Amino acid sequence: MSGAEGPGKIREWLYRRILRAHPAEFRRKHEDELLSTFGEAWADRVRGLGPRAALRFWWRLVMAEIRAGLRQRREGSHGSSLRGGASPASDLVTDLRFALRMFGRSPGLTVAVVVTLGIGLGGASAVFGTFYTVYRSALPFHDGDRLVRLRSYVLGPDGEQRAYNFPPRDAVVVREENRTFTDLVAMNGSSLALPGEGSPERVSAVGVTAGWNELLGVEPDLGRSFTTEEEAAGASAGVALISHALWLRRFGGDPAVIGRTLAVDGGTLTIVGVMPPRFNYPYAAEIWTPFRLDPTDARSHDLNAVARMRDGVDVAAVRADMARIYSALREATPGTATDEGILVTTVRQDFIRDDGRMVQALLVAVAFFLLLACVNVANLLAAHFVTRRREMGIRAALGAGGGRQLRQTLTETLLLFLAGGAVGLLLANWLGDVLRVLLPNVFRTELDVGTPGLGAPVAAFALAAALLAGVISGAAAAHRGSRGDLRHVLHEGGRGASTSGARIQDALVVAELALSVVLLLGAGVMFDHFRRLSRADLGFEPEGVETLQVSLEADRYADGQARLRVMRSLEARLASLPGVDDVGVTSVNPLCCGDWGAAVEIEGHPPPTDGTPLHIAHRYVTPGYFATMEIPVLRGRIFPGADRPGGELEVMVDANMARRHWPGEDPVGKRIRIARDGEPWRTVVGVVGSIEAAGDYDEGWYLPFYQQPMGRSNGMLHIMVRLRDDRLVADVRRAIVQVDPDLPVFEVAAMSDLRHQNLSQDRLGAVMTATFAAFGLLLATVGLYSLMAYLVGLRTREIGTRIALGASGADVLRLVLTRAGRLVVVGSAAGLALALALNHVLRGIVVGVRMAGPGLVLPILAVLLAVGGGAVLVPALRAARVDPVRAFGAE
Amino acid sequence: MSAPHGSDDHLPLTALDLSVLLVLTEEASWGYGIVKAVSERSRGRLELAPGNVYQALDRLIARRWIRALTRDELPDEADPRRRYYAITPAGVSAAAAEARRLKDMMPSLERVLHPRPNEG
Repeated sequence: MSGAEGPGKIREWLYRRILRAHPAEFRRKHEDELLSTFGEAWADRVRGLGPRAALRFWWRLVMAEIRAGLRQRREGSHGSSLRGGASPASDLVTDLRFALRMFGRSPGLTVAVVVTLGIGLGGASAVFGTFYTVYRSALPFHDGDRLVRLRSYVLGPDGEQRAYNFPPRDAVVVREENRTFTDLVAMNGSSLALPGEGSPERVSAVGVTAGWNELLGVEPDLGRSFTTEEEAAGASAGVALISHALWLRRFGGDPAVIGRTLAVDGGTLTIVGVMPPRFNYPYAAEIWTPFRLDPTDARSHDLNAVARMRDGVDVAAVRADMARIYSALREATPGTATDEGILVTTVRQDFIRDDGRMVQALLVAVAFFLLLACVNVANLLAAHFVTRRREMGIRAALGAGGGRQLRQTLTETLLLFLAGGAVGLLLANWLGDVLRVLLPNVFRTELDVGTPGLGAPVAAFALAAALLAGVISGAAAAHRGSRGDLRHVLHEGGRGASTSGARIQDALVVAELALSVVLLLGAGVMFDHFRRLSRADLGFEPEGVETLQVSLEADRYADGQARLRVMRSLEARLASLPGVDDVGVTSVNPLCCGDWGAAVEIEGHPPPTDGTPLHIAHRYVTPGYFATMEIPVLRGRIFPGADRPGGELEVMVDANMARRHWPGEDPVGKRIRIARDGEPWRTVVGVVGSIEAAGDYDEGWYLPFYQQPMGRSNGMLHIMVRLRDDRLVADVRRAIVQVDPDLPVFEVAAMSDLRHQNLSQDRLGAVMTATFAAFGLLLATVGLYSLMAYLVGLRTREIGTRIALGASGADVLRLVLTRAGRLVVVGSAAGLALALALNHVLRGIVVGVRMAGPGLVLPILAVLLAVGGGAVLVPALRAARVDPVRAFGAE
Repeated sequence: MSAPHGSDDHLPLTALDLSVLLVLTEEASWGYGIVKAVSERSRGRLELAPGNVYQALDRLIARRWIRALTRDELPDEADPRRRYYAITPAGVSAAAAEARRLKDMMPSLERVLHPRPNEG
């Protein structure tokens, strides 16, 4: 009784929690007695009987105590006996108590319904949470939805706007001439090397123009922002704000960091402030420095320009304002093309870009899924209520009105749905972490918008969805329960099944089957899409290639000869390592971080008449690059003059470029150049295969590093090494240190890993649809089963009559199977039709998805038939075994 | 639905109250003793949780239908650590009134459970 041993204590603790259902006064008064009664009951009923008995005991205990507690609290507040009043409130409590008792009696149904709803509502809430975060959450700026981003655009030949970063001249002009902004700032992304004992690193650094933190409404956590003098001086002020993470990493979170210096790229910056945690906007910045605009520079499209709209101004007004400014600018600057302009998007839209599609697609998928769960629960409830028709009949006979009965069923249903909603919220909270990967990059890396999960909006959504679903399903199920006169219900027999209600049931199951066909097909299509993507020929072989990024710091490798020397010795040193097959260097990693394009001029081709510059990707490479990446040489040779400095300038073009600009001709021997004053002509010496690069360009040309020893302006280069064993990458690193101990090496990665990362979004989509499809199929199966069980239960007498009149078990089996078979066939057909209709929607969401062919459809139909047959077999066999005597005699 | 006999406004009794009264008409008993007896009499259909019992006991004591026994009144075989409850004369007549009410209802309940077969 005392329960002194461990498990007894835990039990007692648990029971005390359960007793909280009762008013405190009652608990205090009876505490000892309640606990000792509980102890006796446990000893008598459960001890030594195994976990099933224990589970049953607890289940009943919880249900009973909650019921008793509810009753107590109500009696306490009304001071009357339960039977006394007939107010709606007391009806509600009676309904609740009755509902709880029903659940206590059929835990199987309760668990099935709550879990089904939990999954449906949980998935929907989690995705809604993600959706909400992306489209509605507060951006970590002051009034972030009043911010717009400005970019330059050029109309392509297809009428599509190609957007570029903003040039300084335009930023200055817009800041001065606009009538719609309170202010405008420009941010210039770059990177800085931080030398350090043993851990040189390169971090993202952003130059920001005056008024940056006022415009965004962000202030440093520690220290101050830039003074007006510092802003006016620009980079020469030599001051910086640093990120919270950098502060922790390099200064151990020392509050005395203000005023200290940070060594960067040979120079130093004085730290004036530390930004708030997780604020890394823009470009995942870790360092912010003052930046001054050069009003004459109209060519450097490298600014991220953000402006705040004045009160009462909307994006359309801003667009009109920008059009006005740009046409004035065009008149003032002869030679400006007419199809250029300023592209205005809200900052939020700029963050979301294409990533919103995935979230929208998922939202559609979970909406379907929730619908499926609701259909299923309505079926389960209908099957449940039909077995209670007798009980309801008796209640009606004893004077319970139809409305009262309807309320009872609604109460039960709503209670189930609320429990399902609670389970769903828990699931949503957990799924929120998983779904974080669906957030656009900016939301995860630069802004502190938090994890989508349990928040007031999501909870409100879950509650509303649960209530709505509960009302609909409950009403549908109660419709059958309250319908019909007493005698009809009590004598449920013959033709009851062929009513309109049964047709609704059929329709529900057909809908369910159809939806699961759609989901299965969707999953199949997504998987197919993913498989093709992961197998797609990139034009090069990422497998076996390791990439290491090195940075030729400007002060140490200022002239081309110095760069050339170090890269040559690096290549030679790495190529001599055992296990290294090939080595090459490139300015652009085709699997990462975009491409690097410039306007190109082709000798003998007139410049495009519409003024659109011909933008093509160009990459600086060493001759070994092509062999390392296994990019085939289709014509000519790889930089034949590479070893002869001072010779004719050479380039290689890729197949797409060759086909597009020299159709039917041999490009070898033709000349091209970067369309900029002072750029020399270069001769095409070979054609190589085209590659699928991560950037926007589908054509490209290669310049030999040996004739133009430069990478990007910051000296960033990618060393590509084809290794026989990826464990050798440590040797590669060591070898680089031997060549130059101060050369920062960072972002070491296997190209195959980068490839997987690029594919992960698609894989995630495929896995998610497959998960939904699996649940969908499960629900459809349960739905089909519950409908058939319901029908067989409803028609027991009819089946009994048939058997009594001489029908065999096989006849009855056929009767049930025919009915079910018709549903499966109609459901599948409807599903296929729906899938066909939805296919173009999916194709709009996931670029490159192909229509499902018979190779996908037939197996899915086979699975559906098999599973459907299994679901129907149990009730069908039960029908075949109906004993005619019992069918008439029993209740 | 007024009771045909008596003036007791507590009728009809809840199944719980009636069950507890019926157990105590036979002999004085304690918390778990009542739980067990109710379960046995209903052939397992009525399983009470401790909270149910003490709630019913509180209510029945308030109506003076039962009372807690003092230490001196305990039956010989009683465990002195337990608190025992016994029915009062008022409790006996309340149980009897409820039994009469139910008996009067029997014919109509019978008709619901066993409708004449030729009606359908």
